[in-house]
Amino acid sequence: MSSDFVTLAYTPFVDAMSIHAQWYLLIVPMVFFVAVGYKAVRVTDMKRYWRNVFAFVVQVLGVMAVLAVGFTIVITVLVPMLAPMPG
Amino acid sequence: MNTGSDRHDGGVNAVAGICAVLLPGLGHMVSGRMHRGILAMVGVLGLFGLGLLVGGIDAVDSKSGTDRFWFMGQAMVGPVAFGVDYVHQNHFKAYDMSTGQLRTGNPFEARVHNGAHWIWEALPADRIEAGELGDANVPGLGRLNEIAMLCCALAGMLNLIIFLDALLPTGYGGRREEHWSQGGKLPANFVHTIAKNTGDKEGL
Repeated sequence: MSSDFVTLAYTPFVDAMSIHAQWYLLIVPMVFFVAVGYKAVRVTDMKRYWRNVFAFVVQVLGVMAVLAVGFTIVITVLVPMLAPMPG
Repeated sequence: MNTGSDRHDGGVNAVAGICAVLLPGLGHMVSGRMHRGILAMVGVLGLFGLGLLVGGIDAVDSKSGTDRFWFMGQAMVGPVAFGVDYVHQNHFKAYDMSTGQLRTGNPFEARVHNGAHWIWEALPADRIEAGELGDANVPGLGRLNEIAMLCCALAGMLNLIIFLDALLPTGYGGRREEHWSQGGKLPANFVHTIAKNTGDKEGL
């Protein structure tokens, strides 16, 4: 049997998705659903619900982005300065 | 005081608590907070569904290795999580006859019933020739599997907050915000406590 004869069938909710290269993008729907559920029981005035959800999502993603930049600087700049590798 | 809020004051709402255990958001719906209940349901089930969509049914597993620890969080979603786990254990797993262990299948394995149990057997040649890969579902691997299990566990923890809000439908933060935003007066004992803590002599 030739390898190109086999195709992987994908059944939603049964088989895992093959999006290994884009795993970090999953934080967006994850934070959105957390915000929708959490703000549903936290906001006092439901008229401001979607504004609160949006603020929650932006805050979490913003902090994550800042942390990512910070850790990138630590790993690529500070650590090589503090502990330079030979060669 | 009518603050315009749909928050209810005081006591334990046992009926809402029981309904919240049965289905995320149902507790709010039966206590008259339909809008909040629907949004809570969308949040919890959306997060749980996202986990299943990304990691497949393998993301919910109460009996396999370290996955069982994730299931402790996932179980807080309620009967939905237990239902998914039941389907996973009984319709997607089978026994490995060489080890006697219940496990997920591998590619080119068929799930067959030997009269007593479902077992994994090598896929018959005719089915391989027909281009089949077998009966096993594709399990999540690496980061995607972790994210999928995390989504489902987060859904459980989120549902715990929603359950508590349905069971005990008052919130200090919510009431305080209502008082300030509506220009209302705080209860006398509350004002006294604040004044005592801040050293405000007029409040005392």
